[in-house]
Amino acid sequence: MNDLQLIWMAICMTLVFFMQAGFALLESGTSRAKNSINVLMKNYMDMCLGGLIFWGFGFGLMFGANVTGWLGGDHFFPQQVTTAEAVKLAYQVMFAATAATIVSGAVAERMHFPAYLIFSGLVTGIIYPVYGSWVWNEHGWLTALGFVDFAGSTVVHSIGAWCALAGIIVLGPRLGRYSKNGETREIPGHNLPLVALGGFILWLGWFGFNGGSISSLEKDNLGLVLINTHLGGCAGGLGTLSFMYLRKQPVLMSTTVNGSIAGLVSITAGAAYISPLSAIIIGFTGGIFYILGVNLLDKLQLDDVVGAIAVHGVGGVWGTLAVALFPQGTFSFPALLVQLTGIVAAFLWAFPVALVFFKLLDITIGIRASTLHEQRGLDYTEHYEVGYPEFQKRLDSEA
Amino acid sequence: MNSDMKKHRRQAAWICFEPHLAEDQLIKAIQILEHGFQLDSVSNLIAYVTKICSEFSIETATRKSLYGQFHELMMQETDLLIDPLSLVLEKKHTKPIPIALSSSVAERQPNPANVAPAPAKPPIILPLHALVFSHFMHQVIAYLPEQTEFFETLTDLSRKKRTGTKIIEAHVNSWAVNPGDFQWAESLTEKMLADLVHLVYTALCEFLGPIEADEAFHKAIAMCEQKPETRHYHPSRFL
Repeated sequence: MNDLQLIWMAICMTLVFFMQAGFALLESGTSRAKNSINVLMKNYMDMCLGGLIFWGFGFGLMFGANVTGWLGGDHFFPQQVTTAEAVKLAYQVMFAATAATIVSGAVAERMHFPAYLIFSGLVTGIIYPVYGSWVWNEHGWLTALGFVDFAGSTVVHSIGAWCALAGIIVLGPRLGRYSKNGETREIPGHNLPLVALGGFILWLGWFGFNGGSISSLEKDNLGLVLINTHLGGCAGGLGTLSFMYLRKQPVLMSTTVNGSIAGLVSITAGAAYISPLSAIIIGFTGGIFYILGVNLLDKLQLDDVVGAIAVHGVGGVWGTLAVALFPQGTFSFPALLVQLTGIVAAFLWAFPVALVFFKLLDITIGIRASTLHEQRGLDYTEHYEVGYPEFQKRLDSEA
Repeated sequence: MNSDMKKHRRQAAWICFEPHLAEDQLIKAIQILEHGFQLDSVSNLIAYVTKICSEFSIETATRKSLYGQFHELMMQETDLLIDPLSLVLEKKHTKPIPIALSSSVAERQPNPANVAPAPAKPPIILPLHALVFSHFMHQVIAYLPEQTEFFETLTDLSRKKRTGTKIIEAHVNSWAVNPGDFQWAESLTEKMLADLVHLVYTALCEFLGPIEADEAFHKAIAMCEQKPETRHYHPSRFL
């Protein structure tokens, strides 16, 4: 890796770090005021805890010597590293934190903070790096099959989403989210401008997320990666908007922001390998799939507060399949099967393991906040801090 | 004039004007009723409501709804635990003015010189926290579009292991029989009432959704704050 590449990677690392702020703002704005601090804390701690755990265990599992194709076996607690290794490690730490933080938005407003922290540690220490070793370790079994996931549509986003899915199944919906008749009740977020700002920050960070994933062999594709990333995001937002218009639904800003993020997720797997026109089609379709995913989850009464599963799970699956569906060369059915294998493997690994972890946590320390805490808001009950003390009147306050 | 009918009328007046008048004004409204509006006719009822609304500057829009509300209350059994006349008498004979229905009345050391003449039927006096609870829940129930279904939800939740206990279930069952009667709450501790309030919140979330549940509680608290008792025991202590 030459100096220019190193500097570029380092810049990308900071951009991906900044994505955490985007997630924090988007998720916090989508939650009610009484839970806003709790959501921010989860995002913040994903970085703090995830940084240490991934450095200690995750990096070794993911990028250590992989004899079996299933798991790395060295580079734990790395001390002596070259500049290039250190930049790569720092960059990968940010990716691990991103995978973990996808869960926080889905389980917002009703999950105990300590239980979340433990689970977040398990994501960055075990669930994410093990799957990552299959795909991004040069000796991983999916790598050997020819599975392509350029910057992590499946490795980062789908893995996070399947963990989130397990979480919301074990947790159950927020109090009153679904009526007895099965109707979905809207629980509006407390600050939509934060949602929009979060969306912009995520988009900015995505240039680092995808742009930093170019290896030395692919560095010439940097321009294509960046333009495809941007087009995917644009088309995602537009796809969602058009879908809402065509179905004569209100054109919601929060949904449009999520649509553009779904477009970005969709383009992540193939940003370096597809044409700009394909990027637009993939992003546009990703935005539509996002809305369909949200509707499906609501039908199943699975309460995902920020729509993380639809954005990262559905978007991730679509983006990974799209690598084979929109090839620069000729279409290859075996390549599609390999992509499908990687997608299924991600689900079969992440979902059951996360489900078992969540169940174990539920049995041991309990993951669901009590209804009383839900009533009071997790900001106060979990952190003894209130997001907006000047105007936020708690029900249990005489002030 | 049948004394029960008079009492019924006083109760209806109390319930009708309670959300709009301060305690002193309410007592005066009962006095006006006693002194000048004892006929059992619709025109008398309208005249009384008009008089009170003019006297205490209640706005016209509210006035119209009060005619209907008063009439309806006269047609059915009201749910006030006491006869407001006892408050009027107590106000006449005691200084400073006692807190209506408050446990502070019960807890105060009796002073023979200030003891009010006993009414024909002694009023049921609730402890302060139970009284505030009854005010609070009264307001919450008033917010509901449909009570029967709500109480079904509440009863269901009280039976669930996660949200209820056998004791709570028993109290909810007593309450569900007559939602306006809080006599069953007389002997309950603050903790027990707080648990019940929380169960009501949970049921409201299920019944109306979490946003409306919060709004119902905020409004109920705001209405309760107009009661003098809440200066001594704020309903937020149940939350």
